Amino acid sequence: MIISGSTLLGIVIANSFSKRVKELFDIKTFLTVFETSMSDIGMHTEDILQSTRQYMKTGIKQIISNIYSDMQTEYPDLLEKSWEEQIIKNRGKLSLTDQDIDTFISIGKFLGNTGLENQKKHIQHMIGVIDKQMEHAVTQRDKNKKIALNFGVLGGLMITLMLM
Amino acid sequence: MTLVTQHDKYYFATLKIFPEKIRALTDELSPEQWQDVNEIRLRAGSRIMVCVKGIYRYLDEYIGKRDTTPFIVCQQDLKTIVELATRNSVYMHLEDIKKGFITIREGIRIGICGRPVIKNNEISNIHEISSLNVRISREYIGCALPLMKYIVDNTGNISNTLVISPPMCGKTTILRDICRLLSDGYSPGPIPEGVNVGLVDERSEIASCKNGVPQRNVGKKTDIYDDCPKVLGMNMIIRCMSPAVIITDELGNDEDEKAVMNVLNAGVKIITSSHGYTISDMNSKKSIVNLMNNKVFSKYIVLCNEKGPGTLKEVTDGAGINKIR
Repeated sequence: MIISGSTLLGIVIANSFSKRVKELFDIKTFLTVFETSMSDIGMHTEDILQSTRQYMKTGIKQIISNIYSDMQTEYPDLLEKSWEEQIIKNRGKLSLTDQDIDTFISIGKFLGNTGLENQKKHIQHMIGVIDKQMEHAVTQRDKNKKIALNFGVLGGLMITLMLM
Repeated sequence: MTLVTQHDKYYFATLKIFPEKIRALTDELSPEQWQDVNEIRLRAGSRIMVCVKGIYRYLDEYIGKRDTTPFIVCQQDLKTIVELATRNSVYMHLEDIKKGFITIREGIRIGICGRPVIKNNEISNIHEISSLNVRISREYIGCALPLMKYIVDNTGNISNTLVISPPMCGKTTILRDICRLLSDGYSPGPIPEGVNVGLVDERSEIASCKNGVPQRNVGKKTDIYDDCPKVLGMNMIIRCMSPAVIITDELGNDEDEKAVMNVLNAGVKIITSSHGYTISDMNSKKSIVNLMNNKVFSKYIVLCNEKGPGTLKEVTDGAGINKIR
């Protein structure tokens, strides 16, 4: 039981490194789809928020859904405000670092509030930032995932041996 | 006088674009007070003004809040209004913003003033917004009925008509109702069944389409080119929808003349409008002068604000000389 529990803990820790990569990838996907929907299809921000949800698989999907719901209320607030509120509210459910969260929040500060060319520039800049953070996240994942898994199994074994 | 007990749809559409603190103030307007409001003017660093039956008043005074500290609009409020009005999609409305306005749901038009960004001698955006003018255009079903006898003769022949009116005198409202009456037909009248109408709604003010569905009553036989340049729309609608009459707003550009001639050459009638106080005001507009010289229009309808928006001042025949009314 001790070995299983410890291994499970190792798996959970290891998965959080993978989860961060997936969440960052979802944010990047959102930005890419947003750019295409905005410039090529000419969709409104709230329609883009609704349609991009299908491309996501992590907790980012829930945040985007909540922001979309906020925009459907009788008197919707600015996207920027709802964006920040929802990220802060759901922060605990994400594996993103503080730096990732800051990047994610900063997306809401420009989304939809400038002309097309500026939107594209902002999006491309943010994609660049996220790419860098993803590189770091992948390195961290590769480095720490094995350690966490091994540590889980070995830790369990050690505790069991000590108790014996 | 009928007591108005409920706010209309324009009220709720207007509230949607205001940040909470301005909404709280506007929310105190009674339905009756709201009915008389034509414009809401917001200027950075000033109190909110409303145009009530042509007279400008401070909003807080109009709602009877004289004893409290007046609310002063800041620039961030104006920026927020533009973002909310565009549904957080400023990029979708930039072409309109360049021209100084945006049209939102229910046909409410917001004039924008500020510091323009100039690129290649053209305005590419307006930043540092300094003032906004929220124009509330209402729908008055049947307001054009008294004019129909001048536009459609006893045999059902529709006259090419130019509606001339100064701003805020109901030009668009009258055009919208003419569109509805021609499309749905009216009785007693020479066209009880109505005709196919092509509407080129360049600023989305006449039909106020949302997802392809007109939010204003423009008639059941009306095909609409929404948010489309007049010249392009007029040429396209002739080819694809074969209307009996084309209706469009605010003629005046040089290119408009050619588009109107194309419409006439296709055997389609045209009803349109232009800014002005009298027929002679049209002399300053080259394209309209050319159309007048070519006797394109058979009727000129001049509106004024004497007894409120939409007051009929005069109706003149195509020569512009013989007053019919």
